[in-house]
Amino acid sequence: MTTAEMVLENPAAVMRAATPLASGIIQGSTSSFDRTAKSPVFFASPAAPGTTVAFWETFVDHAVRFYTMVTMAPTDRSRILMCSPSISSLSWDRLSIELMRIANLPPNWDGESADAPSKLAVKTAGDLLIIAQTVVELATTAECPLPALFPTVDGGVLLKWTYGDKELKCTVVGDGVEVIRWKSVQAYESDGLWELPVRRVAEHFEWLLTQ
Amino acid sequence: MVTNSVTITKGEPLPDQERIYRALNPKHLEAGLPGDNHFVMSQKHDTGDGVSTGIASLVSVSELRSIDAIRTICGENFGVADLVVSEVLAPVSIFGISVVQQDATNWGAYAGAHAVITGYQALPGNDGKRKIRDFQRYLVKLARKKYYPAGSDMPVSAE
Repeated sequence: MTTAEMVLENPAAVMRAATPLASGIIQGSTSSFDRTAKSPVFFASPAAPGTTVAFWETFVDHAVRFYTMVTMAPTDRSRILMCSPSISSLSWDRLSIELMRIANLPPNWDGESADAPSKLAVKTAGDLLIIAQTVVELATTAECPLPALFPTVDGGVLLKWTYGDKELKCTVVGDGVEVIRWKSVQAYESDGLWELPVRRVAEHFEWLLTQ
Repeated sequence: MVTNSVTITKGEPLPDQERIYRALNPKHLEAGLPGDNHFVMSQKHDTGDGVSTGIASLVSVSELRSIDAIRTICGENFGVADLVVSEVLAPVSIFGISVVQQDATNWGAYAGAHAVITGYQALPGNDGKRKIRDFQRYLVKLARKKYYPAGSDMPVSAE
């Protein structure tokens, strides 16, 4: 945990004072960061005491999302209690970019008559990534590797995810997801195969992340 | 066909000790390694169809790489997985899966050097689908255990 000072400005002041972060900014972020301060100073929109405010800071090669709880009355200045770095979203963004690449594959993308990924499968895979990211952010796990995405030859999207000794595969076809998982990467036989709507896959992600 | 004391009978399962080669379409690689799309198997596939392989005692890796039908798909530069029939079938022969010699007319001079991993089509229901997925994952692992990377005649292992 690190501490920092948060300056809460009125919206007009935020608009005047806030400058986009330098290269590597997360699109949409308008927080500014005063690097000259002994403690980092973050400018953000005013918020009521007890509100959790989230903002981004980008470093040279990664971004960190900070969450902080506002405890004092948002008059002129407020002290941040703690900044709890969350995991970088850049890697998840890269997965989204990979999904976009998959989405743009043409018919016969492999030279063996593979189907182009269907729009519905791509959309469902996007929903799946959001669910996965949410599960990871809520889990109290040590760093875990991100899943990997691949196109399937029948127009779907395959998500493969290994954490510790557990292994999980989600094959998205249309708006449904086929889930199969193995208790151990060494095991031959899977635990089971489920065909689910995407909203019900979260429990399998939670299983994966529970060590 | 008899070669190196191994008898390959047309239309029949290959001997356990035979090795088979699987051409690795570069478009199907997963982070540069053999992946699921190299071993696509489905209950919907025609009976008698299957995963196409070359019989190692009848076609070498470099000869396999010279087959036009494969080069048309995989390009000039592609990897080749090296599998042993007994290892391939170890967990699945009880389900009726086998590796069977099957002439491939589009393989030209090497037509008789073709075999298919087949029999998975008959596995019924959801449990059959699960067995196929387990087998596919297993084949990917075997392929990663021994394969010839694109442009190389030296096998490597990623396992």
